[in-house]
Amino acid sequence: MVWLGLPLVALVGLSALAAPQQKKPAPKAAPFERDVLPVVQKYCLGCHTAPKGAGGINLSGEKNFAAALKGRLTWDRVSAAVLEKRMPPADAPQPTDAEREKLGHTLESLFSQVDCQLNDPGRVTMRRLNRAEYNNTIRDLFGITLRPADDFPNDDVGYGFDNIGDVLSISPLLMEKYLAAAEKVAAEAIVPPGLGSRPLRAAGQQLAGAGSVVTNSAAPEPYQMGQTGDSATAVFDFPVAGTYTFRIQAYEDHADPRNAKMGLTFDGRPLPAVDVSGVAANPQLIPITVTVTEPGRHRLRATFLNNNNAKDGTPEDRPFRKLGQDRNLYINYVELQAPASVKRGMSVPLPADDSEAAWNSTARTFLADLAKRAFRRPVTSTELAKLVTITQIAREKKSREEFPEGIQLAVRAILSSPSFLFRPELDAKPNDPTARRQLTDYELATRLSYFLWSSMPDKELLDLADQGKLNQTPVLLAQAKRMLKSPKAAALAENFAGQWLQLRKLAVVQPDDRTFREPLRRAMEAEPMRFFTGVVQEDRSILEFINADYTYVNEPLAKHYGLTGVTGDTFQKVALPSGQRGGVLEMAGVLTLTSNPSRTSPVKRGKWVMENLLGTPPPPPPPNVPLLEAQKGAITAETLRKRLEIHRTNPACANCHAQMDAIGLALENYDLVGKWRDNDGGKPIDTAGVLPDGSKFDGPEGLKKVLLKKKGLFTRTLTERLLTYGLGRGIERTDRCNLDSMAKSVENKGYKFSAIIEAVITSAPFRERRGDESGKKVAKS
Amino acid sequence: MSKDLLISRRTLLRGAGTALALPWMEAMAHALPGTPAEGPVRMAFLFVPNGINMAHWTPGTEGAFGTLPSVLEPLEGLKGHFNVLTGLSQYGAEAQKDGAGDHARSAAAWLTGCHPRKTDGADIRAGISADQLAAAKRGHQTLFPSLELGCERGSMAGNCDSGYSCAYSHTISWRSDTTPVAKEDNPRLVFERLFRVVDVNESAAARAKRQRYNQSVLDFVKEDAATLQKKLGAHDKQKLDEYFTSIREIEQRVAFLEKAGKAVGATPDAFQQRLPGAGQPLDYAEHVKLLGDMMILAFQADITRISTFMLADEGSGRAYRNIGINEGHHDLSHHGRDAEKLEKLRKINRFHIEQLAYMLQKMQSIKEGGRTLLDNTMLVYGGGISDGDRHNHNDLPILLAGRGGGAIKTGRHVRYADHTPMSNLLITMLDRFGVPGETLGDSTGKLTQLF
Repeated sequence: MVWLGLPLVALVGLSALAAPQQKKPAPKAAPFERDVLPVVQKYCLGCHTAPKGAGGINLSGEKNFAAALKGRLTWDRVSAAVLEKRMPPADAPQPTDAEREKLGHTLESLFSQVDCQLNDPGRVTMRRLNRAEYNNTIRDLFGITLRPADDFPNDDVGYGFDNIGDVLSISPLLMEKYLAAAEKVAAEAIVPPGLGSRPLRAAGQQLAGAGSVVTNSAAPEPYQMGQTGDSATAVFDFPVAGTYTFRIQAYEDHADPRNAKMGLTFDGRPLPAVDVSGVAANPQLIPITVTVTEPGRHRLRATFLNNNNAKDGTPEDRPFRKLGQDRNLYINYVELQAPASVKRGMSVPLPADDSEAAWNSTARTFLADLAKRAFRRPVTSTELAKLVTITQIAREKKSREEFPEGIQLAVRAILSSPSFLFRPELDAKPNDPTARRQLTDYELATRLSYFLWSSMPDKELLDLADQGKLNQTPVLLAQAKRMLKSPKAAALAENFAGQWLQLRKLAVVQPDDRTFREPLRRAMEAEPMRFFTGVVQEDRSILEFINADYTYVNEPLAKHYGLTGVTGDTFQKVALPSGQRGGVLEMAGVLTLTSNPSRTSPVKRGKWVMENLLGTPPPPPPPNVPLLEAQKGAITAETLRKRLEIHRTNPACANCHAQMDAIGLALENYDLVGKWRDNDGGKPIDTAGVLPDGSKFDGPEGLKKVLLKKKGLFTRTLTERLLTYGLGRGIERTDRCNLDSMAKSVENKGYKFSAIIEAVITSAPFRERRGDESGKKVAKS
Repeated sequence: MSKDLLISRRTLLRGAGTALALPWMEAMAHALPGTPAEGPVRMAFLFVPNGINMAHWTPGTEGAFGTLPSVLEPLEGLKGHFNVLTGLSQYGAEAQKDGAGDHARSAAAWLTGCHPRKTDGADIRAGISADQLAAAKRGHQTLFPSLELGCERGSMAGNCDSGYSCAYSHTISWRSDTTPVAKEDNPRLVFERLFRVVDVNESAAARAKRQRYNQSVLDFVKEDAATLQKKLGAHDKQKLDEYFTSIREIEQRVAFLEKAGKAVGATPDAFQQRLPGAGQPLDYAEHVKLLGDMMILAFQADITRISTFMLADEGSGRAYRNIGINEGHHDLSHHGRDAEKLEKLRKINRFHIEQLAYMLQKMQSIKEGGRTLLDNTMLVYGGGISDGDRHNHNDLPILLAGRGGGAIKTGRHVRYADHTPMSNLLITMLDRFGVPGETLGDSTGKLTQLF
């Protein structure tokens, strides 16, 4: 562990003396004395004079910047309050706008210069694994695809992401789920020798579709399909490419003269239909072999093809219909047997004999390795001793056969402990903000791995940490490169891009459009993520997020876009004709999630662009201003554009809406589910617009050209979002300087995606940490 | 206590080896020490977002109900069992120089009476909520100190309301000023959690072993946590404290179960059948009813006496297609006095009240000694925004159902002076619940005219 231990005050003092004054050798007064003090003296000291300043704020003591820097927290508030016109209070004399700006901007720039020299890593609150991280970690720790966290309560979101230490809390409810999940995982993952590779099973109640689960039947709750066309879908994770075997246990009832027919598709591709003749007491086991070329999630769907009723039945069925002999198809379960090469779970070696010594030494070896991987650091001898002791609780008959059960118990303890559930980074002086240090190699491996994979470090990372090499910048960069190429980097698309682009909202949007069905909804969600993964893995330019001549579609999405020649559920890369699609902005998912349930919303689309692409979110509307459609006259206006124009006649709205509306209206060629349209209900669409900075454009293509001119803003935004996500904390003022230089380096490296990742993982906030500065504040309240 | 009155686990067994906690029954009243014969007092808080069409909510006259306003009409048959309380306000939800964010603030202030700290993540802070305060003081009497339910899954992505972390608008329960409590939305999971399916054929030895195993896990993790604690900063410690508190609560639950020797009974098949399988979509009205049933069942079985239930998250943009409304609720709530929008809001408000009527009727049908479950409950229904267009937090829509164990006079419209803190209602309820002498947020004293 390297302790830099540079006292904050020393650094601060140095920069305060050096930075501002070196630049201005002229005998002018220092900026603080010249621009800040007079305004403060004129307007603030009336109330804020020591020792009893209003609100506990005293501004009378500090006569130069070095002094103000020591009271930085206070002076930071001063500049914000004055710039935002929250101070002085309305009943006190008001500074002019010029005075406000002089004070505010001078303070900000003085502090910013200090920040650059200080390069403060900031402090990340200890992070707990979120749901995605929990699932992935279990997968990588044991090689099983149980997803226990799917049943956990949602993680709260802060700063746009659900991996922010400050808002990830634990409730008894969640703790209960952790304990239960640990038990389930231990039972599933730790298998006695020779029992590897159990098939995965989806029981009747885990199947999705229009059928229903029969709960009053004899075990195990079969899935019933009663109507022609009813289907059951089972989704499994396929860990590797290869040949897999499904086994469907199914039966039918009252089916004379013909058996029930079951149609089958795999990822939307039809497989031969099957006759089901088994009955409840003697169900039939139907084997189906499939080959997958891409690991990941794949779906098998079974459909009931020949119900016997007036609507669906055939003439042969008719006599039986009168006897009330309906025909139904039931599925007890669907099982997936992986290829022999796939190991699920960990096979535990048995101790050599029944002796306690053999038991303990086998346990020690096994658990030292497992606990190290689970805790992402070497396990201490005390911890190991405790774990071994726990295994002995299972040693009731003093037989080595009890060993796996003992290990299971230790695994439950590991998975329930804070060292696993949180990612602690332990400090010798946790509440001393001047105690700054580099991360240990293990901490760095962990940060890197949860950043790029949303999962635990793999063997290679841990080995490098063992050797103390990961902290070497070239090694760190090489690892990041390797990791981004791994299939596990799909997590970055799912968890980072899914939240950056707000794609997760697609799970709850309810557009009033008949074409918006589940396969299309899923495809809308998948396209931007697939695109993101492409940029990451091929290390392409981030500017392709704004405009590109290709995308990824499957059949439902291709149809939606009017593209031909794409069939099946699997996504494929396609070249795009110019004019209608290209870049995230024109993806149906983004256009849908920024629409209202009943119509498009240019305001929401504009706001989305400003927030997520340009990083300039419009301020929230001033209080007591009616929303768009609420104003008088607005309802009768014929088109949305006119309604917006009326809205902008209110000066309180005009400022921000000028930009939001122009951007959003340029996208009016896309309807509320992102389908292209040339007119809106017969009325022509006007997509021309001007931004407040004077840039003119017409339609989506024109808008993208303007956005590309603002690539500096975009780069900084994406960098900031990735830094937030990578650190698990909000961006502080003290990070701004860092962020500027990071964005610059991305530009210099030709906007390659890897350049952002490099900038983030080599930055001080990512590689270093310091003590908590607000210890006292928290303790007090 | 006569031994005959004790219900043995075996006598209640039905079906195939699964069982769940016994519904509160008169016989049990004698069996479990500390349970009053008339049933214990319960408290529940049902939250609806985006304000209400107040013109169709507030009764025209004060005192005994006359004709109910149209939003409340579904409660006609329950007229004698609730009050409408007018004039209450939540000052904590006001901007107080924090600018926009009324939705987030109104949810966070609703049961805490506090003004939440404006932050997107770092140092989230409101105050302990009334339900959690009750749970902290009296929750040890039941298996679960409290229950937190909601129909919406909570945070998805992005920022929820003008610089406020999503934690604020997605819960109304705060365990402490820094810890919002996650709610459960999946009826099946709630069911499994509350009425844990127990293997009734488990032998005493097997049960003892299971408990030994569980305890060994808890012992290990507590030691791990204690070791970490020494090297954590103040904010980290808060997180670890949440962990400790949670472990402690679970241990208390285990101890509770052992002490009470809780009886078990049969699973209501009809109920379980209504639970959707994994991945099956759920109709919204059915979702509300199912979670409501779960709350009622938990009250009935005395598994908990305290519950919160968010029918939708604050600021929810749900389109109520089931009643023919295509626009999002939040968008509609900014009605600008447009008649058509107000009418749609009225429909949504009334639809929610229909769900409430379903729950209240069910509670009224459950006898507890000489009273009903509803008589023994204090159920607050309402929200932290009055008019969705103005975002005002005074004159809140608040309805108090049940008699809190027979003490509250019902069937009335009670008007309080404008800006009377809603927190006063909360501390009055706490007092009635057996948690006297508390203050909460901006409370100034107990509410009059209830008893």
